[in-house]
Amino acid sequence: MQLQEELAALLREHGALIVRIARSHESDRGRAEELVQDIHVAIWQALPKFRGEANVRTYIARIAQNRAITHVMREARRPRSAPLEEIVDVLPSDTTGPEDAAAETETRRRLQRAVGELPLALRLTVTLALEGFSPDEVATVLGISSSAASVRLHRAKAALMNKLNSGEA
Amino acid sequence: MSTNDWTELTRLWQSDVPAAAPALEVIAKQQRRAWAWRPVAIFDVVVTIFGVAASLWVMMSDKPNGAILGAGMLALTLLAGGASLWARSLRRAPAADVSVLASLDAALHRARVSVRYWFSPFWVNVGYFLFIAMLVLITALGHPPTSLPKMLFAIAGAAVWGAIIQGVAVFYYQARLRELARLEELKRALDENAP
Repeated sequence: MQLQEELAALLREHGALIVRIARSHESDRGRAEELVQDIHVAIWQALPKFRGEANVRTYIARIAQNRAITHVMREARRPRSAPLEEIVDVLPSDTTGPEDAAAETETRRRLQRAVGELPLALRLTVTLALEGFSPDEVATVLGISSSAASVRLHRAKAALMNKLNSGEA
Repeated sequence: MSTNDWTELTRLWQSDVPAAAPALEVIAKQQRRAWAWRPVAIFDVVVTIFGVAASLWVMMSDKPNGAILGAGMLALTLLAGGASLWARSLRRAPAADVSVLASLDAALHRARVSVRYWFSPFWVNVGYFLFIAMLVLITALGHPPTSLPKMLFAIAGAAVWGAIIQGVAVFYYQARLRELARLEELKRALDENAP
């Protein structure tokens, strides 16, 4: 019971991060929810092993990205019977007026789509960068050196901006 | 790309989204599913023990050609047991919560075990068909022509059964091979020195 309470507390704090990572890898709402559940399960399974050596946010991001990869691999061999449903949430915004809010929602939708269309290696990196992780933290999550993480971050950001500016997304 | 652009994208990305509730029922289900591979391993051990016992029983019985039949059965059982052991004998992969690359290594490990697991029926079937061929020979030489069609019909049935098993194994083997190829491609893309 204590473990479940611990999990609930962690998810209250980092739930949004998990949802965003899941959505960056899965644009179908139902499957994204399945992935979020998978990540919750993985965190719950990993919690007893967590000794607090790493930053808990980094630890959660690592587990979330791991589960996301498994999900992407599984989905690659699962046929999609219906067109993907775009995930667009009506989110609280600090902008004023309905027009600003609509423009922001549209930009967010384009950003989500652009991230989702990146190759997996760049997507993993750019998602972490958008979440505010430093190159060192990205390196820890991915299991590569800091210099390799910096190079990949640079490349991932450039690819994302390119997609956004070219209007592909 | 200016810093401002990136800061704005980061702000936009991190705009609040609803956090999902903890999936407690799914957690309970997953916990049960984590044991799924154990029954498979236990099944392999039980079948091997049963096969050895049945082979010894046939060898010691006073059935015609009992010794040859029993020896063949014993060889097949040991071959199947050995193949299962060989499939699982790969070195254990590192824990999955270390890093994304380590997790991918664990997935690669599982995929390789799976490929081996579905490849092993091939060798078992080679032994099985050799055994069937031997039975055909023994039957043709040692039985009166009147009982021959009945015996050969039974042997043909066994051969068809072996072919079905081989077909299923080939299907799963190819599926696992494709999965392994996808994982290896992903590993190359995520690797430190990836272009």
